[in-house]
Amino acid sequence: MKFWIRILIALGVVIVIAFGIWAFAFRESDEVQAFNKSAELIDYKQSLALDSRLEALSNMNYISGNAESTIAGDSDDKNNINRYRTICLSQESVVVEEGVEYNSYMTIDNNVDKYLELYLPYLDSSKSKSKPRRQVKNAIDDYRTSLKTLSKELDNVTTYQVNMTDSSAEYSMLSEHYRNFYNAYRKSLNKASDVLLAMVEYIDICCYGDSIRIDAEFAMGDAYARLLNTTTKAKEIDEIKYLCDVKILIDTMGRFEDDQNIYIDQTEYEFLSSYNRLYNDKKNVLTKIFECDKEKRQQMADGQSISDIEQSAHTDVINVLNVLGY
Amino acid sequence: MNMKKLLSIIMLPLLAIMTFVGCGCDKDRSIADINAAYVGMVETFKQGEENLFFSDSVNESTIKISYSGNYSGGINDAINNTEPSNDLQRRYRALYYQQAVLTNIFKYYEDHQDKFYRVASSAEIDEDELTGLYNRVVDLKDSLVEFKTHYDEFIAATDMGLSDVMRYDVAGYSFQLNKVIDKSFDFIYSFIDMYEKYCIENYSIYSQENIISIVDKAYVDMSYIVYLENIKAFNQTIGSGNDGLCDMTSVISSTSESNLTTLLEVRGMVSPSIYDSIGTDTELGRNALDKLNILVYYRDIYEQRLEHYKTSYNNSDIYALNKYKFATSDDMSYESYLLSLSSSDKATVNMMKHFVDEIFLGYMTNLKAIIE
Repeated sequence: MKFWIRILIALGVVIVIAFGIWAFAFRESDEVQAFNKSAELIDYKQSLALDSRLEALSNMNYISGNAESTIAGDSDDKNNINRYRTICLSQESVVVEEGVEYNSYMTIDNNVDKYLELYLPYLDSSKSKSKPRRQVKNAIDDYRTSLKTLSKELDNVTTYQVNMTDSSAEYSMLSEHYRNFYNAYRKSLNKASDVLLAMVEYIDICCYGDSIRIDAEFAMGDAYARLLNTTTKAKEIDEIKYLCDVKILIDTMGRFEDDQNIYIDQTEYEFLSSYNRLYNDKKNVLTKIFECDKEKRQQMADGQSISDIEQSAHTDVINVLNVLGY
Repeated sequence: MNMKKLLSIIMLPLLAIMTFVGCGCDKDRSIADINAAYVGMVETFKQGEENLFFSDSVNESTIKISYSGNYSGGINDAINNTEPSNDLQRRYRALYYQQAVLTNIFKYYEDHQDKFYRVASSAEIDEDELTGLYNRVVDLKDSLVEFKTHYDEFIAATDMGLSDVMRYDVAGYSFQLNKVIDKSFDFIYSFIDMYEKYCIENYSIYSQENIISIVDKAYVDMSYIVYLENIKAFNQTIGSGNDGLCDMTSVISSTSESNLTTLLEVRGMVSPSIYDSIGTDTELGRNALDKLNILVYYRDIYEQRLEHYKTSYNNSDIYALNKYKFATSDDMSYESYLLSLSSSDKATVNMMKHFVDEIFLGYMTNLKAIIE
């Protein structure tokens, strides 16, 4: 072999080895990936400025940029528009009947950001495992995509509403835009709940070896994500009932944040140990109590016999649901 | 060059390294060695009948810095002055909180050393654990020996009288005392780990001895977080030697709810009703059981989350955070500071806040429920 060919082969070998060492030394570790992805998600959500844009649309219940031209009347399109506006954008709680209320998507969405920030530092675990890490990454990717769609639909509906005139054809088109916006918002909340659930699972497995000790804030965050997930997957016709249940939970979370006592019939220890037992040992039961419909959840909270839940979990189910407000 | 020569060239440095590493290996230690090292450490600082750093005749194993000399009365008065009115007085007051931390740390050792040396001496203990605890005692002693130099300088300077000239001395002295506190925590947590592992037979039984261990550990944990949040966080300024305002003095004079140092002021005893009623099928007994259960539950959550808090604490600009939190700087409000952080840094700050405000203070609230 000629001298120069040998030199070239040797150089090639050196370059390959050097690249291997570089790739090994500078590769992003698993936990860094999960942590970075989550931090990027928070930055991305902020960069979309959804909060201020949603609030602006919430305050704009008129067309053509004219505050006099409010969206009011009896046509199906206008009714649909107002219904979507109420579910998605209402800033006050919406009364269904006496004592039964729900919060709009915009209001319940605030808790998503709160829990994303709460969980983020725990994702920096040195014991990262591939399955929960992949779940977090995939959930974040899906949530980002859904946020992008939501942002686009929000633009569409806002732009159309500002530029339209008072014709029935245009109202029909606006109603269609609102429907797309509603679907996109609903999907993004569903994906947000997937992210939150994946994050808690990651923390449980990677930080605490599958035996997390849940505190009240984590318990409420987990319950919120589970209930949000069920609500955003429910049939549209049943959605309001589920949203009312989300409000009960959010009200409890609010009282807890304001340092009000949420432990009336159960002690704090009973609640925490019950949630802990369900989360760590009987996750199928925990899933069931947040997946079922409102009536059944109330029956469980009232201590009535629950056929598809094992007897040994009944007390824990009652403790958890009572403290959460049911 | 033949193969033998090549091998001998490679092997020589390897053998040298192996010999060097071999010489550096720790000798195997026993429980008796640890006890002897601790007693030896206490003896080191004896001067006649007095002991400079272990001066309390009741709690002989507790680090308690004694102040003697011409102005000893003045120092003690300044340290115990509950209403310091100027910067210098507050700097002296800081020494009170540092001593309170040390007292809580060593209370665990005082209460459990007898059983530890008795039970652990007959237990089969991992050699690494024994060596680890022994080394912690040696490190603590070394830190006290180094601290002694600064102590002497401080006493000499104080003998000239308490004045503004001494701002530097007391601040620098506080800084050096923090190094001793760091080593004391290293020692006590290592001791607690071994005590819990080898001397507590059944955690689920709330015997009087176990309850005392739970409570003493809670006081060590209390001191640890108060130390990190309210004392060590200001190392940067108390050790800087500048003559400006010491940030820690602002914390001491603060009435903010975030001021955790108040937790250190009174050390309560376990309510006798807890001991008397626990295990009995009475309202009182069930109540006591509930209080202990929730305390232990919070302790477990605290211990689970502590590593994350510590990592975040060490990676954060903790001095800047506290400077704005306690408003000791005029250049930015705390809210503006939080807004200036990246999302991940803000989340880290929030996590630390959640850890202190919810987990740690929840733990302390439940501790208070069982003490008088």
